[in-house]
Amino acid sequence: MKIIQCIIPVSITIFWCYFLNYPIYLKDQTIPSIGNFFSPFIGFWQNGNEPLDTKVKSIPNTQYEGQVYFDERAVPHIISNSIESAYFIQGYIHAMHRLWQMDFSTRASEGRISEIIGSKALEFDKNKRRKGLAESARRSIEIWKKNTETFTLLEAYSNGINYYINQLDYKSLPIEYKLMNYRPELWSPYKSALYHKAMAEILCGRDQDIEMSNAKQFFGNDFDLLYPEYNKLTDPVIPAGTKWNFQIPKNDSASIITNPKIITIPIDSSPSGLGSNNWAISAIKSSSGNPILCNDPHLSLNLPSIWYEQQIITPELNVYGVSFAGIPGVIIGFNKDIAWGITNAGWDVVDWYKIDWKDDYKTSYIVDGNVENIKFRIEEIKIKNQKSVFDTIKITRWGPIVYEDPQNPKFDLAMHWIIQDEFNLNELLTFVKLNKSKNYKEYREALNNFSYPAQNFAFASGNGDIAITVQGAMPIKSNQQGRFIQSGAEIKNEWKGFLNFSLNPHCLNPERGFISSANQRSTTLDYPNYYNNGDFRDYRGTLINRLISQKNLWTVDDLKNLQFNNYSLIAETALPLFIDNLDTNSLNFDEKAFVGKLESWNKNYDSSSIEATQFDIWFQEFYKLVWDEITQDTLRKYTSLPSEQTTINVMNSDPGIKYFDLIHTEKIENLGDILELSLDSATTKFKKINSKTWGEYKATHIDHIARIPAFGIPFISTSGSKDIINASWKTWGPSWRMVVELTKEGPVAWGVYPGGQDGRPGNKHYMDMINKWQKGEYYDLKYANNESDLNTNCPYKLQFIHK
Amino acid sequence: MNQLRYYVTAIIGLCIFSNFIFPWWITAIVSAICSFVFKIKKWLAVTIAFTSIFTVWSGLSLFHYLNSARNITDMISLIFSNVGSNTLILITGFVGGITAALGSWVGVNLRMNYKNA
Repeated sequence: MKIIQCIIPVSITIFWCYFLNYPIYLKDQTIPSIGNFFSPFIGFWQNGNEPLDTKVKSIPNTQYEGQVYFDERAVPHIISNSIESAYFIQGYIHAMHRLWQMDFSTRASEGRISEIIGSKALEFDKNKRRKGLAESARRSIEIWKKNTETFTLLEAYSNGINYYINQLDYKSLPIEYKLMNYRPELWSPYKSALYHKAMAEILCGRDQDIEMSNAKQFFGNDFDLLYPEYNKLTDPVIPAGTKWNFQIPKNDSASIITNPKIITIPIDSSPSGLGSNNWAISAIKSSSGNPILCNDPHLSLNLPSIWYEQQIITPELNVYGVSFAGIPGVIIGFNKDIAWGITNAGWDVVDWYKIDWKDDYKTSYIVDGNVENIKFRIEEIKIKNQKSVFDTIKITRWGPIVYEDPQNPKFDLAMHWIIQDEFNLNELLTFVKLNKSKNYKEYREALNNFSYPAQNFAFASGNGDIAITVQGAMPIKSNQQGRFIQSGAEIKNEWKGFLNFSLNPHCLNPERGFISSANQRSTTLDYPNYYNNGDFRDYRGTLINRLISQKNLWTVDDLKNLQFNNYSLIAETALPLFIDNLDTNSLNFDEKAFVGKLESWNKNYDSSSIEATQFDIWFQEFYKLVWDEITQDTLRKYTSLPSEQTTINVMNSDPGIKYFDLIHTEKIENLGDILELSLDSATTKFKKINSKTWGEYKATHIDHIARIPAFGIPFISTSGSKDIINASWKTWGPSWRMVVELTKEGPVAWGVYPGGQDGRPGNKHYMDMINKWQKGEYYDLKYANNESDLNTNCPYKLQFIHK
Repeated sequence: MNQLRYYVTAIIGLCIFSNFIFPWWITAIVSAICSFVFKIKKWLAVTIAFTSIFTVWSGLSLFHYLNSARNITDMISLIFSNVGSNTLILITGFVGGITAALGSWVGVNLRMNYKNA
């Protein structure tokens, strides 16, 4: 009895402690260890603490020395006597502010999210592994190792991250680790390479081959009219009229698969419309006489933010700008002599090949009449609290088979994506060199190391040069190659190598006094090599060029306003056509009022505009009705719709075209009928949503990367839209706005991004820049010339000293 | 009375000190040791252990909340069905308090068993 009196409380206590000490796994949900999580000594209560709790903190280590001054926005200004030490410190600081983001993002690229959140990420992981991001990262590392100078820097950066990780105990882990109950992995250069592949997936992992093949099959002879390769509105990155002094030998045209029915393979690609703007004006267009460069990359809006701001000062360089937490150096920024900015080139570098199987076992396939064997790669996908899943990936000469069509088991597609090619180039070296470039020549030399994702690198220098280079490996293709699914049974459908970088589109000091890019085509159609649309966007580039050309002299404030310009070229071209083709006599009171408001609208997508909501709804209703042949047939959801621009062009040039007729009615509708019907449904819909302003209707939200709602912003009212210079949509938008004036005394710059420096939820710098970003305002970027500039302005300092 | 005072002081002091070094469940062990050493009546010892550690854990979490953890607490509250920061502070107190009470129950029973042996 006495023993039982002891055993009962001991057992209950052990059970209680055990139960609360371990997480509870409920299918795909994890409840963190309650005891650890709620403990005020180590649990989530500790995650509000500042990493910098004293004005000066010392970090003793064995190898690297330097100081970091943090300004009031927690932007680090790193000062060191060697670039190696500076990169070590940058690694440490990136980890201090963004460790979970870095760790999670690279695991995602590797296809290892199931290890953290369970089987619900299995398809995601399979997809990443089939695309081969990790394989490509491993190959890149072997190439990067050949340049010992940069690899040493990359290792120093990794050492900095690992130095921070090794200091962590449960108490100091970022909150996401505590919630999902796992720990960070040590960093390595391989993980930085993975980050590069993740960016490649976002920026050049998009294609429309399946959608275009379906569209060609459906529209037949009208395809060329409805899907032009070059629109009359297009104002390319390199000004029209530029002469190209080279030729590409004529190749056999690629053989396109004519699919007998709609291909129903759901392609997982980045959202359409992601892009960016950059431009630079020369001294002749600048009211101060100084060149000015602007850049705003449009990427997914997430928390923690994709960008991280910092300055790095060593005897060799003094550079300021934003980087990705996970990659050393500065990606977009400026130094004492130059500034540079990046937008996506949008070339299609993903092509699909239909495999001609030899038999039903799918172990061999036919190419030019010969049998080739499949290579298999088996991937073990570990799943949290479940058995591993093994995925067998079939690899062909074209690349891996990423998707299989369940509706059509013999219709398997292999993917050739540029990241599978070996370039023997070191992309990291691009930024190491760019960070210390002093002039146009050095900028061009730096770019020669950059293979993908192809980018428009805008450039301005203090000595007055402005330039733009569309940099990246451009596949040599025959006409139309890669626009549609191609036959994998013929070798002639392979890419014919890559263009020499010296032949890439570029432009130095154009007569018009400015350069710009906004994801439009790089050149006019007379460029000697064929390249097709990965995700070209025309409206922004055209409007930017028009506005910059219209005005002789620009101030910094004018250019800031241009980044926040909300004027819609779609509205400018479509609205007069809508109103002219509408029979206003047949409209009811509400419809008349609706149209009346739009007639006096300034065509700006301001967040407070009601007219922007009205027009957008009307246009979308109209667009859906015009292309009802596709939109009303769920089978055709993998078919690309003709662009908004083509739709407007057709209204203008061919108002009697058959597509204005609705397929499900007996009556033969014309343009006027469609406009009336769409106006009717737009008026009803607008009433239903209680006349929301554009900002309310668009409902931009900034999600946490792991989609934990509590750590994101569920609603933020923003101006701008797709295809508007201020390209802000529901889940993506200007992820960094930067304006740099290169004065004789040095650079003067402004910038802002939608988030904050510290990626740890709850921290005061987690989202402190969002208000200014939302309003189109900027912070002054404090470019320090030396340490004395920082001593007085920065509240916190970290010292890295020898032990 | 002195026993009681020493017991409270020991349980609070040792729990705070040990929690900075050892895992959270050290609270149960510390309570058990204190309840074993100090000759306090069974249910009084358990009640005091619960009350003391409830106060320490909830008080410390309130301190963090007021000083630095307001934002993160609000976010965590949203994850737990928007229970509110007060409830999170109470839950914290209960986790600590119950652990200490259970430890104390073990300690008292071991003492009684040892005395009678």
